[in-house]
Amino acid sequence: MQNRREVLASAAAAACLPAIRPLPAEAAADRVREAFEAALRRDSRWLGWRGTDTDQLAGTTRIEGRMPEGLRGVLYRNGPAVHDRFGLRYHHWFEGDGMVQAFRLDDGGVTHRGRVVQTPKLRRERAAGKRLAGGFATPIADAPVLAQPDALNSASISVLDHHGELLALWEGGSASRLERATLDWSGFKDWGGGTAGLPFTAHPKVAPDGSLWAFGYNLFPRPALVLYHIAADGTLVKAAVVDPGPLGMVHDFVLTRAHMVLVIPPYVFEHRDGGLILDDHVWRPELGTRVLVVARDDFADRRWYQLPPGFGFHHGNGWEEADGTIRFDHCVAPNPAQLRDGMRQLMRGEMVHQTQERYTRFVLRPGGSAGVEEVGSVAEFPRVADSRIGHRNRFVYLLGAQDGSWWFDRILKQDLDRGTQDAHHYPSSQIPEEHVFVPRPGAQAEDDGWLLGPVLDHRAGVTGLEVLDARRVSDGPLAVAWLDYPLPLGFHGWFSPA
Amino acid sequence: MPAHTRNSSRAAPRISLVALAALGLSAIMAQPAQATDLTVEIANVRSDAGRVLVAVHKESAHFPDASHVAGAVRASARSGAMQLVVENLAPGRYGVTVFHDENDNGELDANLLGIPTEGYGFSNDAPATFGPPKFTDVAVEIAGAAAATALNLVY
Repeated sequence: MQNRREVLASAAAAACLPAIRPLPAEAAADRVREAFEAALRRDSRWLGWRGTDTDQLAGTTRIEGRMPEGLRGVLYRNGPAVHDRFGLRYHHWFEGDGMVQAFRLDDGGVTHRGRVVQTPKLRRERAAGKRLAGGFATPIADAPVLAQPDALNSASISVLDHHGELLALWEGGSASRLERATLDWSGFKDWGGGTAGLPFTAHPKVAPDGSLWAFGYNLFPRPALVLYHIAADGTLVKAAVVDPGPLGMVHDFVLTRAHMVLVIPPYVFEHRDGGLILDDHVWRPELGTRVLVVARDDFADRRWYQLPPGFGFHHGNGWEEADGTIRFDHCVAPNPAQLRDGMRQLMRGEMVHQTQERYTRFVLRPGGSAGVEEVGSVAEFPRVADSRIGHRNRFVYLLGAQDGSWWFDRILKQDLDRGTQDAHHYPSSQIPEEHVFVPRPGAQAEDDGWLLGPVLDHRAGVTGLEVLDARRVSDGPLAVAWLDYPLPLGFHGWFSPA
Repeated sequence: MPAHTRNSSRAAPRISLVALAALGLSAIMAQPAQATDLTVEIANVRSDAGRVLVAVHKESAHFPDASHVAGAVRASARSGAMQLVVENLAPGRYGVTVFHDENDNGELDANLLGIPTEGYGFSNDAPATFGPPKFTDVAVEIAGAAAATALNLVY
């Protein structure tokens, strides 16, 4: 663990974003596919970022080890999957059309169905035979002007199953309704109350009482944050628009017993005519990271806190002490190089960027001061037991990496009470995705359950669904259910128990 | 009962289709000496639900401006393509707005950020990027016996 002085001393230097020389648009478009395919021929690890040519996949699995009794249900996952189609390979990992995976675990074993989400964007592009929706990071010649965010919606980041409704989540626009059996796209979700077409995060939180909390960020023409409170029965209770000050992409948030906490990094969208959304983000470390804390029962009750500048995507969880002190975690890096550069390099088959996100705890004090409390190891994709959302959790599960490595090679269980870490290291032939925690039916202890997630065996060219005992992570998997085809590496998922 | 709150001070002004239609009728009754019929070709009508309204606006600082409507017409929506005619317009430059009021509530519905949630289009098929196009992009010169403009509804 780094001490505070080391953290603060390196923060200023690290916050500086290295300069890059952008490639000319024409050359960049040609080089991305060419560079990636050359890299894939040399190194099978790139299989995870190749993307999918087919819109539907289905298969049974061969189980290695033994699937545990009591683990029954469907693991849904999502991620950008159509990276290269209609003659163009996207420049950034975030841009590909989403593909929802459903792994069904039942008495017969594990079966898989995958479906590329047939959004209006993708259908229009198929009809035209070319990419039409530009704007994020890939320049697209003669792209039609977009009237509103859902025209670009690729429904590609996560999945939510709430009150019997299965939703594919994006973040720049609406959630999408999916047919459960076929994974067909059946419309954008309208929560009512003037929220149709508003952005809805890929990281909503379901509180232990079943209520659903979410936010969305809007960048153009005016920055705005939208807040949502949805009841356990799926009805909108309230929504509000907040003027956030300088704003860029905000990927996740923290829910506590009484508040929503939104961490706004100083990576600010400053629109230029004809600019791409990502290129129009400017790193402004002098603003620091600003934290908005909103009362769950009254969206007009807001406070702001100031933290040192940093950029992160994800939170595991947060909670409040009796005196109102809020503690939360964040996988945070000193600057947004991962978003701006790393995720473009991946699309070209380059391993230059070093993952810098560290699992970090922050504190917000009732008097208004805030700061870093503890800095941990390089880690991402944090998940906690859903039963602990908004309450103090003891455990968090993450993907970890060797310092200086470009991707994740281990799964970690962090014990926040004892300060210890349990890890399973993957063989070099395997690349893991985020694992979710699934409680054993009837379990009492917070870690009595399993970790569930895909692993890509890039040498064999197949993906498997892996299960570990959450109490014995360092024992390695209890079972892996192997498909006979690979899946694109995805982002986030949701387990729906049977 | 859950309360649906709206931050109404932030919502974009609602354009009442009924008010626009009323203004149009009174303009038509005026019968100018030289009068042109404007044919509006509307494509991509999503459904047969509700009504489609065409409003012809004179130039103003804040296009589209309900107080600058020279003529209007509305009809039951027909899925696919429609053709509506606004009659007896005096010569001049105008911008045309078209709305598909699918839920027939007399309003162009919009979300909390002011983005329309019903279909709309503008003369010259001028695109709207998170806000209406400029008058210069929608301007149609109206003179002589007949004029026309074509557009696609965007949903």
